[in-house]
Amino acid sequence: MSLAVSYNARYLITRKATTLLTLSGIALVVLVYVATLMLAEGLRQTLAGTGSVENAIVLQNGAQSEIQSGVTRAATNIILAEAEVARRPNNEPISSTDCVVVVSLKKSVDHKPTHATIRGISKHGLEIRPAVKIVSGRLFQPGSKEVIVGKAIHKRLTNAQIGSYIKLAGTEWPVIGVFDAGPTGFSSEIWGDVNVLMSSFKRDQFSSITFRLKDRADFAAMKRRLEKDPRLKVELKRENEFYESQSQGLADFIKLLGTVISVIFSLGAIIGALITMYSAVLQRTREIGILRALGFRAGSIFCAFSAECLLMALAGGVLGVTAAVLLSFVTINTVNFQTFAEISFAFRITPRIALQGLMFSLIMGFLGGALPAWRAAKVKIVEAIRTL
Amino acid sequence: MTEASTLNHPISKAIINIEKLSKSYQRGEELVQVLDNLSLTVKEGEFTALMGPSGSGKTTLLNLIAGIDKAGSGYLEVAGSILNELNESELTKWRARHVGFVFQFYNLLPVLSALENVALPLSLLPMSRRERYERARFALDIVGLGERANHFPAQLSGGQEQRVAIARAVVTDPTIIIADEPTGDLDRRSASEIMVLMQRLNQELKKTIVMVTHDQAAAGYAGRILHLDKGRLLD
Amino acid sequence: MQEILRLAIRNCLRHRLRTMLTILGITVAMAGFVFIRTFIEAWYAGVKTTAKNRLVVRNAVSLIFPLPISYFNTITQVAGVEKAGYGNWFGGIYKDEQYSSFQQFAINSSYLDLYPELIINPLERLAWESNRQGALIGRQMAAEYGFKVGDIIQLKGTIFPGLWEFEVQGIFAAKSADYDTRLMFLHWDYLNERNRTEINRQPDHVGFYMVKVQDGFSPAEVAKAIDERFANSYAETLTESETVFVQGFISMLATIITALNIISIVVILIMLLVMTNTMLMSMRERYVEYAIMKSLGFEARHLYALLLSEALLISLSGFGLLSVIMAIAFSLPPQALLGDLAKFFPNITLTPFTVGAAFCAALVVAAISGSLPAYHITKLRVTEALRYIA
Repeated sequence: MSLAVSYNARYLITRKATTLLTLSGIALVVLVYVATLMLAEGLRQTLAGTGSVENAIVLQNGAQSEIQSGVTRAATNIILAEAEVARRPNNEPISSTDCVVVVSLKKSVDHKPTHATIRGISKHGLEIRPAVKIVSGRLFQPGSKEVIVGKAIHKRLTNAQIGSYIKLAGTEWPVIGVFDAGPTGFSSEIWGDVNVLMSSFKRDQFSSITFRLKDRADFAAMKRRLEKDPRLKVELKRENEFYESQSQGLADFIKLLGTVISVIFSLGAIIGALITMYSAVLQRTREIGILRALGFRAGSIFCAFSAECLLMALAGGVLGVTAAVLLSFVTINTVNFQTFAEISFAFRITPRIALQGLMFSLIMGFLGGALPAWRAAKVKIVEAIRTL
Repeated sequence: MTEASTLNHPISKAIINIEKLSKSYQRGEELVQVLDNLSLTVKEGEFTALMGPSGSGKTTLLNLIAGIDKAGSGYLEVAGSILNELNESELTKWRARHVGFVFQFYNLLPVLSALENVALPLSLLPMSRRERYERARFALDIVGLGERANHFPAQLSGGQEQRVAIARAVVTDPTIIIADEPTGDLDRRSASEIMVLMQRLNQELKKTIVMVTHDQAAAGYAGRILHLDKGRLLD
Repeated sequence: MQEILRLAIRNCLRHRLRTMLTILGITVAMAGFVFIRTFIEAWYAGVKTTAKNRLVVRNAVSLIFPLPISYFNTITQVAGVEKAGYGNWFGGIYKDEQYSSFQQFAINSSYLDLYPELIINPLERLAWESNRQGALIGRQMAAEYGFKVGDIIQLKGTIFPGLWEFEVQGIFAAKSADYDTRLMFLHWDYLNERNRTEINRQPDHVGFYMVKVQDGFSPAEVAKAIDERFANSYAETLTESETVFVQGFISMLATIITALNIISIVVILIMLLVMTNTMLMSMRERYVEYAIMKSLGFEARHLYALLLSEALLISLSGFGLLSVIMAIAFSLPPQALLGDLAKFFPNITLTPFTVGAAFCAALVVAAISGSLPAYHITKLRVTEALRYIA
């Protein structure tokens, strides 16, 4: 009778609902997990890309970041005279003596203040960072108050567009260019002439010195020598390693937070899977009995139910990863509490992360399905058939 | 047999009045007529059995009388109420007051004891807990299961479960008792125990019973047997 | 109704494993919720201990630039300034830690007078004032590291490089539990002395001035007055209330906090999914029983109450279990639970708001997950259900 048919239809829908619910739970958890990994990866890419392995950077020893560091002119001269420093044909060192300062500027979206990084670079400061390109306008005139603004922030700050003026140290500095340093920390900075900046901010020490090494391999020996020199009181790092370590605090924080949350969530998802699978086993006890009576071994029953749960989990995983990919369109702006600087980074997905997400879903599927599958395998034929 | 019962109860009023009752439903392209202009009268105190092949409409008729289904057209008056005029909520209240059910299986709630199952319908009526359980115990005694009051359905045999179901059906003192294949799931011995009980309820407690059954032997206990086919009564 | 409640309880006990798993699921999800909310609240707790009538005076150009010590006298003479102090953020590292969980400030003596909410033993303070290399440490910090009066704390300077040794002269506490007492006070004079002779990192400069506004004066106006004094000078100042200043720091992670808020909602969703899953399964299994009850005269509202009771029993049990776990968790020191994360927080306390929110979540989840299957039930046709053969 059609009444019975419609009832069965409703019954099926309920079963689909259960599967969908459990699947969605797993998808959500995978989404959160993958999002965390993507965030950390985006952060890492941004800061690792900042800096090259060809360059070395010098800071005051013990300084945790460029803004805490001060290197005297005397020390600078000694260092730049060293043999390992690469030179131009005219014997000038390929280097940049930088002065880094953090100031408060207003955001364009709500006019609330945020911290921005100002970097004074020397004559060859752009050359030493070949990844940095001027994309509109031009480079500042040495000796002038002109500044160029990084692509990631030129829209985020008020008065940071070409033709506007940024207020620094009490005076107006014209913005005459925008540069793109790729997904690196530099893209969130404002660059100007180091000498002009230092005099305006009344500083007499550089924050850092970056120079090109003649040969990458020279680094270790040079580091040992310079760090021991009592006149200098400096420490040497490879440029890329240095900038990567700058995000260590923030990256660790995000990863730790994300991991804790993911673990808690995954417990929830596993429990959801357990509930679903146990009920499935209960419902199909008779079915299982018949299969066993037909000759299927307990092992195959176990595999069948495990596989069902794994499949459901995998489907959830795929859904979660797909949703996570959509996140790649989101950019995060936050302040790195280690450097005080605002950094902009995006959620970045890599094949490895996608795979990790799927593995995670499979683990949840396995954990959620193993016990119920084992119970299914243990079903005694006689009792099962008797069950109505 | 019908004559005999009317002789014993000279002034019996009709408790069920059915005139030209029809019900149909759509099955894909087809219009299936379950009940076709059926007319029937059941007097108070009668024990009626409805028989017929599958699809004859007997269960549908039963459901309509019991107020758990609605007719397409026709006149249906049970225990003084015209059922078609009642809405869902009124129908539910009417059922609680006037109908006692005995189904083929799954009658009892597995998480309640026999006594609690019998007392269940009484929770809808305003009376103290003590009273409820007293009445429930009384009903259980009538069906002979007084000592099993605290057993759960899982601990009872099929026949015993049905007896508890019958106790529950009478505990509210309903106007009519509706039984849908009450012996369908039982072995021969339990089946006859149940039918003897039903007959006692009818003859001693004067309960009006309408029963659907496939079982010839069960039907034999009834005062009157009606046959249906293709939605019509066969005389 | 008593009967309905009894039925609900018995129904829950029918599939003990499933019920327990569901309760566990709810508990886990709520734990996640509480964790996130507590984290967010701890982060904002810093603002609670600030005072609107305390002003922070710093270099207008950049937070990392100092101000000359000579400004001190001028500031104390501005109308509305009751008292002033100064300090530098020291930023040292203890042993091999990557970042120390306690903050160190090199201050002058009057700085302490600006913080009446700190309970400092006068004898200990006297001892500190007579020892240039003395340090006053907060109670939480002392507890965490096991420092006692008389211990020597060795710090590696970062902004002020070199090895620094300080002797603990006293341990102070705070009146309010919100206050982060992972704090260490050193002498500015000692720092400046070494800075002048060895380090030469802008000696005779302070990182900030702290000002207490006199009663009856508007903090905003006093702030403006101070800044006007130093306008167009060598180092212009920016003065703002302590509350605004701290908020500036807190808002550094605003984006992440927003993300966490979103995640806490996701947690509720997960709770809902788990509960609804269970309730749907239960409903499906008991379809016939509901039909029987309906045939007995139970109405839709009775059945709804039944389902809702079951859902509430489960979710409130989850809440109960959570309460037990939270009670244990919050009586332990933060290290035990959070490990490294503990460094990032001032205080971890479970606020009534969070508990209330978790409770409300439990109720809402029960209501929704109970309503969905209940809707099916109200539509239930007894005749159909009776045809159902499991």
